Amino acid sequence: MRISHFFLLFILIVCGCSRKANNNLNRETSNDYAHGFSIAESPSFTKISVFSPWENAGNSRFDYYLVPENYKNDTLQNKIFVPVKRAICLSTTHVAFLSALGETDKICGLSGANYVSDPELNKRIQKGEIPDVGYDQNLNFELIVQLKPDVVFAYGVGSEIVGFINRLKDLGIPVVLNAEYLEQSPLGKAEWIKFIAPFFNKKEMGDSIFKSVEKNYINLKNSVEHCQKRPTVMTGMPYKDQWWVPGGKAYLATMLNDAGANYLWKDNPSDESVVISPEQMIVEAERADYWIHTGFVTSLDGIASFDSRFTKFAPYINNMVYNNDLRMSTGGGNDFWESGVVHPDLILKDLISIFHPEISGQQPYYYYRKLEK
Amino acid sequence: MENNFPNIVFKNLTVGYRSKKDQTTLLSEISTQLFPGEIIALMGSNGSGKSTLLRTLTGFQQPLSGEVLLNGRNISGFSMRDKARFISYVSTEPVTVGNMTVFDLVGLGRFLYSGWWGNLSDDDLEMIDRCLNLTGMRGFKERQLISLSDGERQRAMIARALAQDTPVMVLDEPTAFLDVRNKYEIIHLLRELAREQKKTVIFSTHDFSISLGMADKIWLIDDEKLREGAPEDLALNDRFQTLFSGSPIAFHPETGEMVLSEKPVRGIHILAKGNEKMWLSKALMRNGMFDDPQSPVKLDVEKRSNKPVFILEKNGIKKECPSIYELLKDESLKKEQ
Amino acid sequence: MIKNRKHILLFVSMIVLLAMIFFTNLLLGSVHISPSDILLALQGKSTSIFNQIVLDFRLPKALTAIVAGAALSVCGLQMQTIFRNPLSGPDVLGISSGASLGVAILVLGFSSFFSASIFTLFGSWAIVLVAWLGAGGVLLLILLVSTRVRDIMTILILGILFAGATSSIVTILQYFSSESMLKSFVVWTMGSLGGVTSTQLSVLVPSVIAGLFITSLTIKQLDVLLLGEKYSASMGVNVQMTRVLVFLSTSILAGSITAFCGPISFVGVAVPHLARMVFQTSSHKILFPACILIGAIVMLFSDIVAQMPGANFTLPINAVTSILGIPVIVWIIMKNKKLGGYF
Repeated sequence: MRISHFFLLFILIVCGCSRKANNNLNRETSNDYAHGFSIAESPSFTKISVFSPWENAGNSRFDYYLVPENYKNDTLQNKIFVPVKRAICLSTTHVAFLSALGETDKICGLSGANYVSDPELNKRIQKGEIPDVGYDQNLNFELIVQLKPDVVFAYGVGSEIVGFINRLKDLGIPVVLNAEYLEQSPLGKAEWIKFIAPFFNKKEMGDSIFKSVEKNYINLKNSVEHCQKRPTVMTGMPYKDQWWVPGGKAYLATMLNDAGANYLWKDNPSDESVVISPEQMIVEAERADYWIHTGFVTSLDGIASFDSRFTKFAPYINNMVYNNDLRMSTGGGNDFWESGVVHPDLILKDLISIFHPEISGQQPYYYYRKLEK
Repeated sequence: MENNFPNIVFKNLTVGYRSKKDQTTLLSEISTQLFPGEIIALMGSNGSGKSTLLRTLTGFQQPLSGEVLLNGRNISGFSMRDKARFISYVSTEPVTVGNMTVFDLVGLGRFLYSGWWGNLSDDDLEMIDRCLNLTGMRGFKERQLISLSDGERQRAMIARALAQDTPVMVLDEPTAFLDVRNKYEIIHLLRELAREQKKTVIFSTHDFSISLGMADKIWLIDDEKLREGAPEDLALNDRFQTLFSGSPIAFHPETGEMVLSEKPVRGIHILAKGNEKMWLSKALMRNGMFDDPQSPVKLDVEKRSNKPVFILEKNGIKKECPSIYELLKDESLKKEQ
Repeated sequence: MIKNRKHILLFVSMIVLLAMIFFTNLLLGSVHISPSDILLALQGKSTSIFNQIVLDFRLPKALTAIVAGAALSVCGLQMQTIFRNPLSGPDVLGISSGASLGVAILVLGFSSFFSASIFTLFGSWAIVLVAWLGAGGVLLLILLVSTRVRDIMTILILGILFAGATSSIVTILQYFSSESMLKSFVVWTMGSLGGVTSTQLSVLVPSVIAGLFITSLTIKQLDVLLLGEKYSASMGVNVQMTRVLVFLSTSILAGSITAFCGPISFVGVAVPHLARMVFQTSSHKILFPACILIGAIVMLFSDIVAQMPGANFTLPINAVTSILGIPVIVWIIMKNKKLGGYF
């Protein structure tokens, strides 16, 4: 009995201590849309926290302390000296944020270099100035160490990322986890620019970029809010005979809804992808007005040769098929997934142009393209 | 119309095998002939070349030199089908296949003659029946192979070989796994088949008494040579020694039996006569003793209430034993004094 | 003969069962269509959606099931006889593994850009082509080996080793690939009957018929081969030629099905045993058509299960054939106690 008493006391003390630590922080900013991070500023450092950075991460949380170069205090864990001068990005979305902030010159290493869409960065990559450090299981640790980055921006798909983090930590390299891909709302994703901006001492720029994106997005959304007619939209291409489509609460579904469309599976409760059988697809495709996101199929003939049965779908017959592959890099990367994360307003603009040309007028598309023969 | 043209002729045949570096000769320059209506037993120690000879004879192995002639034609000119038309084969172990009847098995023997997908014509069916009869398997037609005894299964395999309708049948130790009775019955059956169907039947065996008792001719492999003749020819010429060289057992040309080669040491006088005398002297031989009329130790047999009693007389003392076994165990028989 | 009459009866009942299960397969799916509507749709006289579903999806899928079940079962039958091994199936020569390797190289190996251009050029034929190439490559290897190696058991072991080697290469490719490519490949390995269009069927069906035809040339030889290769040679069978024909037909049958439907397991191993059990014979004259019928029935049934009628999801066909196939084999073993005794 005695021992457990001591144990309990010990725990209370520790909790009390940590609460004390929290009280030292002056301001904590909360986000309007993003749930995955928070920023707390204090005079000597900025604390950025990431919550649940992968699926089923439960309560795990990562705190990063951004300190100026001359910071001497050794008690803080997870210190990162800012502004960051050399960064390795393991995802092209990170590249997109840095591109918007004008900090792509700080990138010294990439994962998936041939998928990058940013033209400036591509030039440097072609010149061989930015090496590819591999991806997923095959990160080239030695190369990463050689590059001497100030920070590695990574993302985790599962708890195995912790092993990777610790390894690099042992080598003296801080790893910062981004989790913008888990945000289900388009503005939530875009708001992560505010997460990465402080690393480059560009907090104000990040805030203002996001504000303008938010403003555009909301304006666009409002412009179609009262539309009576919402065209029906189907998405995707099947793997074999299984159609994987976004669930009703997923990122794309939200966008379609905001664009004044009637997404076929908007009532599905999932925020991830769901499987639809081909038979159900036929039933729905009969009443669909539009078909978007045909993956690697780039033409109507391509659809016909992929599976001739799809030529009976209404959008095909009515020539209303669109794909988001207008901005493809030569290496096979799609800018939709790169700068599109930073500018969901541009995506929304395209979608509204497609679904409600009567409201938007004849605007050129930025990401989307109508499929031709 | 007598057909005495030899089915098989060996001309200066050298049998063995070649490996990458060298060659091993098992039989050197043998020439012989085999005729229809004969049954031949092939004997030889293990490794002497029995199987190799059979493989060369059936065309599955090239001879090192010389020729094998089947019906006057060199075997190398025969196609697979021609060979199968001439020679059929039975191996040591009876094959078991599930869900197969004896009729199915024998029907397979008609492979060369049956139609598309193995359809059997009336002639085929008649042949199958005949083969079943000849091998005593008539009642077994619809029986499953797995339900047969080993002996019955071997008969079925032989019936299949018969159904292949070949002038020559080759069997590789066909009785190795059979019980005593079946051993004799199978060879007897083969002998009848050879005679009545005018076939040449060759079988390899280790079994002495069978080959001595049943074969028309013995082929004995002896130091790269092939000794042949009637079993009695080889016995008289003491050819069988080669099977036992270096072993304590020897073939006794006098009696035609296997005996220990060491000479018997002690002499015992056997008073008994006839069958009893013969078996008693065998028992003595087996234990290093021989029948010596001049020995003071005497053995006699008396019949008491229809059972034989063996009486040993030594130094005036008579000892009685109820069986030869007990007799041999007796101390006084063993001791010199 | 009494045996013949019993067999004829069995065959007739099998054909009736096949027809029934074929119609049931057409009847069940994720969209509810009544039997009378099915009949109308088959004639193209129902609503346009129902017509599409039945004629464009359910009918080709059912035909694919029939063809796949027949092809794989006959493959298994041949393999079990030629290797005298009751556990042999179409994969034993490594042919499906070779097909998988071909697909893996296309989907996982090349950069997605290259793969994408292949897809636009050939559409879904791209996967079929590389799968055939992979299967053909393995066949060539096997034939080369087969001429040099006498003992059939050695060929069996080599086939298994080829399968292992291709698996390892596929694992390496998977290790280096991105999530989407990986998912694409993994979904392929789960097998799918519904992905085959009518146009593709017009290539698949003749391929299977060609393969079955080649098998039909070896029926007599296969019967004799039950006694082993040594006996067969002594009885006049051209063992080399038979091997070549059997391997050829296996690669056409197994290779085509794997190319169009992905790898489907257990059907090839289990159905020949079912056929032996039902018809109580080892004669390939009976087992060949029996495997075609029973294979088709089993595959149609597996597809019905995979469709999970009533539920909101479907199962991959490979999972269903495994789940159904394993207990069948276990049950047969228990009933007969000596599976090896078939050989």
